[in-house]
Amino acid sequence: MSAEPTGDVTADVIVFNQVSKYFGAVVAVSDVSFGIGTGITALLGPNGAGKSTVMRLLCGLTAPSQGSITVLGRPPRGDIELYRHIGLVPQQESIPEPIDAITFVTAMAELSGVAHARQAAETAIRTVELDPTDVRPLRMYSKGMRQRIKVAAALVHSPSVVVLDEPLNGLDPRQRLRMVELFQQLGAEGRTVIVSSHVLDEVERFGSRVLVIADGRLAAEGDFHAIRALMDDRPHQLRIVAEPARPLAAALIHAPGIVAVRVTDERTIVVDVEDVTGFRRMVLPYAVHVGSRVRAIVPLDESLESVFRYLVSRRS
Amino acid sequence: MIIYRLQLRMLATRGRLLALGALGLLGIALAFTVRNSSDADNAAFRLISSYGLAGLVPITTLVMAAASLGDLAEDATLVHFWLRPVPRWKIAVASWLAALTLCVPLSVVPMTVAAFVCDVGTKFVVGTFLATLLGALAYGALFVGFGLRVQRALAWGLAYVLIWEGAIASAGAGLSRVAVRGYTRSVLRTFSNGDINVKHVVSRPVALVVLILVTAVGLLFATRRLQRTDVA
Repeated sequence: MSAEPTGDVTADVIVFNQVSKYFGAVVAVSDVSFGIGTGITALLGPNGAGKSTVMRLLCGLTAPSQGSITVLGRPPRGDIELYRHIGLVPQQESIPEPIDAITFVTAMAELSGVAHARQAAETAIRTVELDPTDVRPLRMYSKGMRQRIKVAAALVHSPSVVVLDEPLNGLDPRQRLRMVELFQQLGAEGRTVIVSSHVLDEVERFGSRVLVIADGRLAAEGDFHAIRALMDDRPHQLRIVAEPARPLAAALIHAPGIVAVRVTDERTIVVDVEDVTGFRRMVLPYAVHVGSRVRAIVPLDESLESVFRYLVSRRS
Repeated sequence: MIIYRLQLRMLATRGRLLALGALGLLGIALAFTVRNSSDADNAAFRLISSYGLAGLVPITTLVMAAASLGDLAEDATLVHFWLRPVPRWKIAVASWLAALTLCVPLSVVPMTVAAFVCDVGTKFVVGTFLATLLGALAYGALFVGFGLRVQRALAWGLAYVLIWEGAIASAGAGLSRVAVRGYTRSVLRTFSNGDINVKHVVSRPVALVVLILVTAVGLLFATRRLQRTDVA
């Protein structure tokens, strides 16, 4: 698979065709085209990149300003019958607080036209490892429990398209593992599962196809390993705390694999390197050679934001 | 029916019930002062018109109806109902009915009891019941959509009730035509025995038709807002 956006809009379950979305002067999504088939697809991007807007667009919660969207061959905005086939876990925590879990999930099942709503609700609640006999109002649930109840409500009507906006937020490691397994199972059953995340390691666990969204644009798409390789190819920025800094900086300028060196104060050097591991091995001998003592080596740009910025700049 | 049940549970918070229940009881307490008045017919009309139709009924329906969809939109729980294969008009009507279910015992019943306590005849009690009920229906329908359309709907709704309906619209015949209160008061006046001079009243059939139309238009507006709103 290519890590470059292809804009391939062939017969997929979800198709975005040159979709843009503006909120006043703010461009949330810009000219995005992609197709999503069955199985898990991860939507990866930093906070504010436009992932949630993409998810809202594909559920019909908001209309595109330009372009067209189809889900199961139909435009999602206004087609209420289509909602029978879509299950959404919204990013917001909000759920009806005064009622208990079984009442909420049963109501969602009934509204979706499920025949044995109560039974389906009990199954869905157990699937997310909660207790359907728990009569406490949802306001008393922890963040993780609320998150799982939202997953139960999204799955109770067995939708063929499952949209999960940051579904692992607030979950402990064991619950995360369980949820990842559940999403993988849904994908293996032939459903279309879209999961958004701003955490690279989470996406890795899904072992899925990835769409990278940054600044409202589709920065890259492909399988996780292709995206990961692309990210690893970029220069990395490190801060070195060394005493004295200047002799070490002067020595590093001519070292192999160094892209740039800056001395920011008497104790600090910032370097751009191609290979972080190789650099870490190399820097100490250089320091010894020039009589500097290295106190710390801190990566400056390991955040996803910097990775996405790199992908966007690389694309443009 | 499901949305109606859920809405009822979400709207019936202890704070709302206690505050609005106290206002209803205050109306009944005021009726005891009217009962012993020398001009009971006119005093009873003034009480129900000023306290009930201008205050308790619109404010109670505002609190309940504006919150029914407005609170869901504001706290982003609307998405759970919106993303289900349910016709939008059913969501609007269910929310309106849930608000009414709470408004009737909190405003219509206390005012009807107050009219009974005033002891000015059965006709006035019937008139009070009809006027307050029609008022609750119309205000409820208006405020369901209003809550979805406007942020801080409670504040804006209070401004509408107190400033527009309470002050501006009562200043002239033309302006009173665009205030629900003018029609509910007209209904009440046609059932009152008093000789009080009430300005800008219309006939009972006209008032009934307008209030029913306002209700229908309000529900239509709420349905349209649900269809077109951006859901968070």
